[in-house]
Amino acid sequence: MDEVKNRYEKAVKIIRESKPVLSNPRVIEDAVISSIRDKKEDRGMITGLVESIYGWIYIGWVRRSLVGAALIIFTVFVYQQADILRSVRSLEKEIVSVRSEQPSVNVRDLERRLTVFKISSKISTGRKIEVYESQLQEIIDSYKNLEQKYENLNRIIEEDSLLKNYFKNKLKEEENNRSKI
Amino acid sequence: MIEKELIEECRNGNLQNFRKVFEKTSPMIFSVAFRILGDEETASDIVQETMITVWQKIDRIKTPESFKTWVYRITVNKCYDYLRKRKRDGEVRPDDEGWMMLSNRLKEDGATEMDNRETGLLINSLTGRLSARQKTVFVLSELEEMTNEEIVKVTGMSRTVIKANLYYARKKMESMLKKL
Repeated sequence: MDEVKNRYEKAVKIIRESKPVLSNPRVIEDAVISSIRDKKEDRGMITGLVESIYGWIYIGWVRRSLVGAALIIFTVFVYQQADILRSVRSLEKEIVSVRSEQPSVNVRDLERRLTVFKISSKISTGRKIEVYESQLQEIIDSYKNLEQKYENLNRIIEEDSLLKNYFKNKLKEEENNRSKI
Repeated sequence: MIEKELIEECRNGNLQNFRKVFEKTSPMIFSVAFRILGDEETASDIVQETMITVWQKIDRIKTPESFKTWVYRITVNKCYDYLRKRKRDGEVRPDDEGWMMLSNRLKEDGATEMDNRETGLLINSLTGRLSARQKTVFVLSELEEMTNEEIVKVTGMSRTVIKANLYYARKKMESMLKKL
């Protein structure tokens, strides 16, 4: 074991005493100096380029004008923002309102009012819309009328087998034509 | 030791004075780089890169006393980078010639002069199987004869880590020398 330690100590001593010598210090020194000079020149060129592009901002009246323009732009921006905010707030208040022409209290009328409310909530778009009950009632009545007509027609067709077959064939034909297209 | 005035002049952009700094510092940079890397050409490149970094960052030096440690730190970091690159590239170095030479040197009684190539071969044979950390600690402690305090400042490792790395480096080298 001691022999190995001795070997180690001797190996380390040999290497320690053999000082490595930089064989060409002058060449490396010149390379370092020229590299530093090149970088300095590069930096000088970049600074010159930046100054030629942005140098005009150092002219007194240009700077003052730029500051004035910036202030005006900022003021316009703030005014616009305030205006937009005001519009948004007023928009929130705009809802669909259904006006009653005559107050009524009976059950049938209550049922009618409920239908009106359901329809009005479906057609809400966020804008201010005013719909009168009479207009909505007109729509509902015409719808009910149409429904009644449809039921009558259906009943007539159901009762007459010839008519029923005719309509069936006609519908089938329609369907075929549509699929061809 | 680099004088405060010299550092001040370099900070002011005086390249002539930087030449003096180069003359004083390059031997120690080369010595550390060569002993860690075991290659003259690469060590010369490290000297060049380190000196350029010194010039670029000389503003960071607060006291002339810390200059030497700071330069050592830059050198060691550059050597680390190189060792990492070498490991990535998978460079393999033949060490038969180095082992033969080491074996012969150990048998000799007196010390004989060696050139850089021979020294490089010996270093590579002896430290070839060490990790980058072990190699650095070994070089700074055993070859550059730095104290643990100085190594802490240069490498940023704790005392315990330094001692452990040195212990394992020595063990590895002794086990290799056993085979001679």
